Amino acid sequence: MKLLSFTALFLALFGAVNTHAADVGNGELLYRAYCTQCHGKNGDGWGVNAATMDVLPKDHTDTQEMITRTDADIFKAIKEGGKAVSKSNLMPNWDANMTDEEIKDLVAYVRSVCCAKESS
Amino acid sequence: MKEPSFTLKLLTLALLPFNFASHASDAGRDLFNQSCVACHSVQDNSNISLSQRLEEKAPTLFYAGNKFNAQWLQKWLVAPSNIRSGGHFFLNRVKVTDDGDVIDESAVPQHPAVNAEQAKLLTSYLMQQRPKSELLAREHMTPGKISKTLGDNDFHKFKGCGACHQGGDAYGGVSGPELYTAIDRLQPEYISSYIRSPELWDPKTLMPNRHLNDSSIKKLLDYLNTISLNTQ
Repeated sequence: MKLLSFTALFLALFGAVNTHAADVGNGELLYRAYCTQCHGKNGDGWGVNAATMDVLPKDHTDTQEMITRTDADIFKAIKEGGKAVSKSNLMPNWDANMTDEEIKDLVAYVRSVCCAKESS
Repeated sequence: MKEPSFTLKLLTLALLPFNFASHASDAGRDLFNQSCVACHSVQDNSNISLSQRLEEKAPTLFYAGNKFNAQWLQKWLVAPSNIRSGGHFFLNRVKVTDDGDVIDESAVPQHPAVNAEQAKLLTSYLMQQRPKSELLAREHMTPGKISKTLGDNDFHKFKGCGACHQGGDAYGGVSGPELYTAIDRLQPEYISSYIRSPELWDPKTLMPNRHLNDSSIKKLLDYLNTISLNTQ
């Protein structure tokens, strides 16, 4: 019983530490810095680099396409790169540029670009 | 007055080149503070925030002496050309069009030119900025050769560098600096170190760390060398 209580307490504390309320504003800043070069200033996939790329960057404004991706999928693609989610290697891994919390902020911003209408 | 001893004369002669170098570096620092600090910084960038990084007008010169080839730098300062199509941060010069985002070239500032003497003084000062020599000391690669076709495939398809950088034939993305003059411009150890760990140079770098091993980094260095030879 004691062990059970201790485990419950540990999980509650651990959960509290790992709960990160995503900051969409910070996500937008991160998007401007790292994503717009390929995905475009408006997130439509037509960034300044797109013209010479073999695979077109994802259109983040395409709601129908984006609702098929979970937040975990998007998180993994950003952190580990496109290859990690069976997509293009041209999408790099950003694990050295952003912390997990920052990537969560970015995921929240991408969701606001693609799916704000869906969730409202 | 007593004639200086032979040893003292010899010592003075031996130290003369250092005096000249030190004088040039001091004069270069004064010139830098007068003409360059409005856009460039030589301050430690270790604690820079992302917002500050995006607001920078020009690249940091904190580690200029670890980065540039002195000969290239001195020549470039007299006749500067654009290395980044969109300037230091491309997004400030992006126009959204029906054909996609494009760089508004009219909005990209041109780097001012200096005369030959000023270029010499500035180069002398900037090459003294070497706070990251220990990172260079870890690198031991000499640029070699690679077939251009293999190198192009590696650069564009396999490593994805061409998404942001222009490689051979000036083909590739425009958000990062062009790399077809990289070998002339940059010290080879800096190139390999920056590819290996860009965040150790610039904590808020816009370049990802692809976790490449020595062999992969060497292949890229060989490619940059090959395309540089082709453009000479």
